[in-house]
Amino acid sequence: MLQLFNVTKIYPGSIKALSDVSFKVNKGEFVFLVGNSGAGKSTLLKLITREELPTHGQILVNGKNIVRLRGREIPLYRRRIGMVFQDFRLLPNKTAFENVAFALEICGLSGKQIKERSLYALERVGMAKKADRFPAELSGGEAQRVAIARAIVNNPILLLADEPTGNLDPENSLAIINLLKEINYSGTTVIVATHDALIVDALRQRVIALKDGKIVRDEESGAYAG
Amino acid sequence: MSLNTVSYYFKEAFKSIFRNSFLSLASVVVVFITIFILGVAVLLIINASYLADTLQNQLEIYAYLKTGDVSIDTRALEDKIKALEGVASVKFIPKEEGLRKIKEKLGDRADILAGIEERNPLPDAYLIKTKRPEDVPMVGKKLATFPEFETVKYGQGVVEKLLQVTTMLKIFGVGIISLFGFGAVLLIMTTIRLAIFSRRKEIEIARILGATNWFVRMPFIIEGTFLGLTGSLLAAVLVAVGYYSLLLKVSKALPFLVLFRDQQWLTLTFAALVGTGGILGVLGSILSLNKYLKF
Repeated sequence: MLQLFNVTKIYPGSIKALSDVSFKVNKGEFVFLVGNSGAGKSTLLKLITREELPTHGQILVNGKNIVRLRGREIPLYRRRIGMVFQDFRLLPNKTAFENVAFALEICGLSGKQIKERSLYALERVGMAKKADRFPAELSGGEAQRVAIARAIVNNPILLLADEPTGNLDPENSLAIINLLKEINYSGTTVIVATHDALIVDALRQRVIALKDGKIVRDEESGAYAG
Repeated sequence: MSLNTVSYYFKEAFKSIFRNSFLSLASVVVVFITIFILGVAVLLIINASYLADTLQNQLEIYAYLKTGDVSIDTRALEDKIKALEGVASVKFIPKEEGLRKIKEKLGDRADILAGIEERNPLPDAYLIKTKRPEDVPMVGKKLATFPEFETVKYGQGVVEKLLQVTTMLKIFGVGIISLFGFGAVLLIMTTIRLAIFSRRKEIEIARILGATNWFVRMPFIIEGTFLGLTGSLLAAVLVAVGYYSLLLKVSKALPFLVLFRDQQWLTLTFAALVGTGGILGVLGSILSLNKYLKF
């Protein structure tokens, strides 16, 4: 489902973020991408969402080489990828429901479909009762649930999370990672970039460890520390 | 594109207009001034050209006979004029007809001539038309040497002066309008830039969620177009109301004044003014998007 072939990313000013990275993720897998800040986790996710292009190497998603995507194909590709961030990135002037609906408005869906699917997504993350709250009225854990609802409302083939528990306390962190695992159970491939040892050790899933832009470990049922 | 998307575009555009109400207002005002000046200049140019055309067609020579000289043989004189090079037609106008023509031109004000018929002071005259407008001065000068004529009149330099004025008006108009048009585009660009800036977070999120370039750009283009159209519509209405009331007043008070009043062309002119404002708006927003919204 996701394949990287000898991917190298050098940012302007000869900053080498990734160096000759190759790995494969099968459909329905749950993968932790671990490593310290600056190890290249965020860069890797940005390459998969096509926010950045690799300097060398190829990236295949569902058999399609996304490095060769043309400009107007990128939005259509991104609609099939869900993205969750450390800082939630919800729009403050929209309610929880409107934030989730926004993802479908972008795709040009009809009002009725938007309503049904947004409510269903909020139900899946346990936020249906707070659909009319604004982000400022939600706790960090609740805001991240809404952000996850927005990421899955389009039934993505791949869900990417960049430090999803970075702004949460341990209790909420575990709840959020369990929610992501639940979504993974229903068939969505999930990749979580994190340096939160607690959630990695709690789930014991496949771990890919990065150091200075290189893969140093790729282990099934791994822990945060190798 | 669904109805939902369209309503999203307009909602976002109008939200943004009111969020930056001061700059929006400034943009509308500058477009208004630009289009107002453009409208006035265009009407002036249209009327000057129209007047020049009218006068061009009326390029005639009036040769007035010496009053009281009854010995003149008008038939022989007519043949003598016809024999001149460049003359197309010659028409004898007795003084009674001359007076009637003046009365016609005065319209309602003809009463000021009341009682003048008994002692008509006008001389008999010849109306001479030339084959080409350029021949008028030459024929006129020759006629002036005839001993039978008291005076010879032709549009000495009037048309030339009018055309000169029109040209100057055009150069001056293009200068001022370019200046203001440039200012209007710059101001709309700034307004849109601010709108982009205040929505940059939303744009970034929309991109990640798979928004197309058009989805991101449309609200800003609608915003710019609306600002341009509002300013130009107000200006066009003001110019139109002003011009029509001028036409109304002039036809009552000064009926001999030649003003352009072709309804179809005037409507087209006012519509073009509104359209120009819209173009300024679209231009401003697209320039700003290209500059500040990199893909």
